[in-house]
Amino acid sequence: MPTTATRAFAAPALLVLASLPALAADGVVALKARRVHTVSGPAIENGVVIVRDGKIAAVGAGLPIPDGAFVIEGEDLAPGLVDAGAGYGVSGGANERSSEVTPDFRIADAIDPLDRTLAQVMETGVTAAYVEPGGENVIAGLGAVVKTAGPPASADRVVSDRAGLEVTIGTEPSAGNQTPRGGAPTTFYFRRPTTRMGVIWLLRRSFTDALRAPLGSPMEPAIGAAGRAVLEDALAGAIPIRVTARKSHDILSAYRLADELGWKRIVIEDGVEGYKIAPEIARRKSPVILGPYMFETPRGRRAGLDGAEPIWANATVLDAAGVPLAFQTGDREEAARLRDVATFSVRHGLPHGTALRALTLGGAEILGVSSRIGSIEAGKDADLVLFSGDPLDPRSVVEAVLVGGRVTYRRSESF
Amino acid sequence: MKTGPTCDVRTVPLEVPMKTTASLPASFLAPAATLAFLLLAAAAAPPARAEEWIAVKGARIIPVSSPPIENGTVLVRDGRIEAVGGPELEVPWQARTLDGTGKVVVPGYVLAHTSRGLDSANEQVDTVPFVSVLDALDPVNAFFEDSLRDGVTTICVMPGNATLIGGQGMIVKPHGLTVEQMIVKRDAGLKISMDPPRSGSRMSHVQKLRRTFIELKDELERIAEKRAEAAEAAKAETSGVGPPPAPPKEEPEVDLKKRPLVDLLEGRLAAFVYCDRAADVDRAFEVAETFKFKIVPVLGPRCHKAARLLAEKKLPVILDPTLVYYERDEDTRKEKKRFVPDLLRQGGVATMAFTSDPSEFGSRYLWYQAALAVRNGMDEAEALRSVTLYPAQAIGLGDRVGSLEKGKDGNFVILSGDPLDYRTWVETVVIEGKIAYRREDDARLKKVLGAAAAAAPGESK
Repeated sequence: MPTTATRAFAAPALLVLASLPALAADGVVALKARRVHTVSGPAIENGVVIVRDGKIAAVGAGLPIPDGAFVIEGEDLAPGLVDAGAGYGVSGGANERSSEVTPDFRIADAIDPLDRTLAQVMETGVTAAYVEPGGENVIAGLGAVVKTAGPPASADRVVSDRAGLEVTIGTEPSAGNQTPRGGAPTTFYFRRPTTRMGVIWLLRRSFTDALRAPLGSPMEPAIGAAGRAVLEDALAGAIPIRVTARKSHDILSAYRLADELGWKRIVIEDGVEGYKIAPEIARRKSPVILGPYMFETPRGRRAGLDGAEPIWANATVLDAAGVPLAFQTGDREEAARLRDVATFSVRHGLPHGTALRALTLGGAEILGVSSRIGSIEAGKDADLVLFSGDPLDPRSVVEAVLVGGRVTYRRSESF
Repeated sequence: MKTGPTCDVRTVPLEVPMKTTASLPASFLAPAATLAFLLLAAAAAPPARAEEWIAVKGARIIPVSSPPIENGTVLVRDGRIEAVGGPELEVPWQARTLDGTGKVVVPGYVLAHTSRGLDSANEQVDTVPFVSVLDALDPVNAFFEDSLRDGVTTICVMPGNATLIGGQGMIVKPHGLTVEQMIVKRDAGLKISMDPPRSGSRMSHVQKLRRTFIELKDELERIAEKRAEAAEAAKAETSGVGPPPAPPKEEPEVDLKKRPLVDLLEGRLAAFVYCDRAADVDRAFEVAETFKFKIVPVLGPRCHKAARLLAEKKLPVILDPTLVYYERDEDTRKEKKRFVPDLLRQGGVATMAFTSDPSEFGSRYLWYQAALAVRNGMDEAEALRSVTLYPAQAIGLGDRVGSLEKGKDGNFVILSGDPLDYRTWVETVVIEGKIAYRREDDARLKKVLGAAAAAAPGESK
């Protein structure tokens, strides 16, 4: 996926680089680990990873350590974890309330690279996150993949600023809306859909009449030229359409719309009831991004969220049907718990390798950024996490994190 | 011959004919009668009341209070631990023996403080020492079923943290059809919260607590005086001097509503005092020492700043489920990750009980809380004690539960593997010598939590 992140900040970024007491910022880092979980291939016992100029230069068993390299040794080395759906990193709210159809609104414009949660999740091993606009709009806009650390002004912080077009099917966009009473229904602050029918009607309308109406005509929803360009890109398959759907019938609605409107790439987000229709999801070849919601019990804190019925083996069932998976935290509260989503998926039957893949390369692929991140391969960004043991074991501690070849966290130095 | 409800026909073969005769056709009765006769003869030998034995053999036993035993045995007689030992330990012939080969046995986990399993944890009025969780506990609440599945065998249920004097708590086991059957200790303690409601201030909150005790003490003094006067009068009457005898009056008594507070002042109850921040700890001790009552501190994460004060008191403490939190610098707004047990230990606090939070998908398990502590540098054995022996000591049941030792309650949990491994499942839970849970019978686990989770032992790895 081409990134449109602005290059204008490249020059100041260099200044920042120079001013940081960076560990081997432009030098060479060599990581020696008992196990290197490459994810793209088999794990390498007693592996060595050489990092040069922010990229992975070489991976293998028993590679010679270059002279002058900064050496880090440990147990389990994994690719930096990818949070495939996050609510953190955003300055202020993520729900635009002036309209429920805002396809050209970019979350990249609201991301604070120095956000404290970004720094906290980096210390848990998450090196990239797909930050998304809030789920209260029918078409909320474009999500972005950002690195969780690195010089704030660097263009490299944003891997992709149009990694997905956020769509929500369910009760969120209609929650709290009221039917117009007396007032003009076209008021700027009037939110219209009050039912699932209304939500889906708006989606259908956005991708048909509203897209074709002459600019400036009194069409609702009014979508400007920039918004139309985004919708066209989504229709052409250049941007995946990320549909937040928790109940199984909402997932099916997404497929019905896809057939009707010609959506080419759909990613299902949350998919709490995915297990109920796993063969259909597999047939549609749409990946599913799973988060903490699937571990809610019907009596849980957020039970009743769309009335979905979670089972803790959701990931296991979807994987067995052949559905590509990734994991997400989904909201600020669970920000530091991405690893736990994978851990508890394994506890409930998901194969260990599949879980580790979903946590890294699986997410990168779904986000369209796997050419840069997600696995330990020569040529990829040196985004790496060193654990004290099995990356999915809650007892394992993060020993070191590298983002873009730069050591951004070391446990030994944080206490 | 007494037939216990948990006796299993497969492992107690002598009972088979006894049980089947009733449902068998008459033609089978002749041989059955012969057997029954033999049985009666056999039954005549032991004492009138048969002993109930249950044992687990061949497992790795982690007694928690002593080093692990490989290929060990735990023997329970009549609901109490009779012996814990190696393969040489003899198991009586009549014991129901569970095969522990390849398994790990731990004491049941102990949850020292929770307000789950109740319909509503906080009364609307702020001073309600007279209410008890006894009347709100719901034996069929899913929390208890989950607790069994998670290996928790002892639960201290307390009123919530939002009430000044919230009422009386109770220690229960997550097994039983009625509240009475679940009770381990009826009068576990009285809940006090030092955290004022959102509308109030700490000044008025703490003063309200003091005033409650001041007024109670005054009342007790007045009653004592009245009793002394009555005794004096009675004495005068019998000695024949003084005015004519007054008509007999009712014995002066403290209002029923305040009796639990009297129990507290007279040492029959301990106060479980919730402290939200370090300053609350200080006040809690001040009030407790002024009015001379025992306290069990229940600490929110920010209380670590009172570590040295807590250490001086040498009390076991109960920690809020939040073991890791980010402390924010007021000036720079910079946040620093804090691991509460470590900070408390640095201050000298020796005995800490972890609790769980059922609303979090990881922290709902006590084993996860222990694993999290290991991640943050705690020794595995100490982490395991923080969810077994230490909570038992904190709630005053250190002599009954929390470790596998002779004489303690016959509670143990058979695990499929290492207690802190995320792939380990609880296979069997034994409470007071009776099987309370078996994974193979757990329909809900199969349906909701995944077929793999309910797979045969050993397959989950």
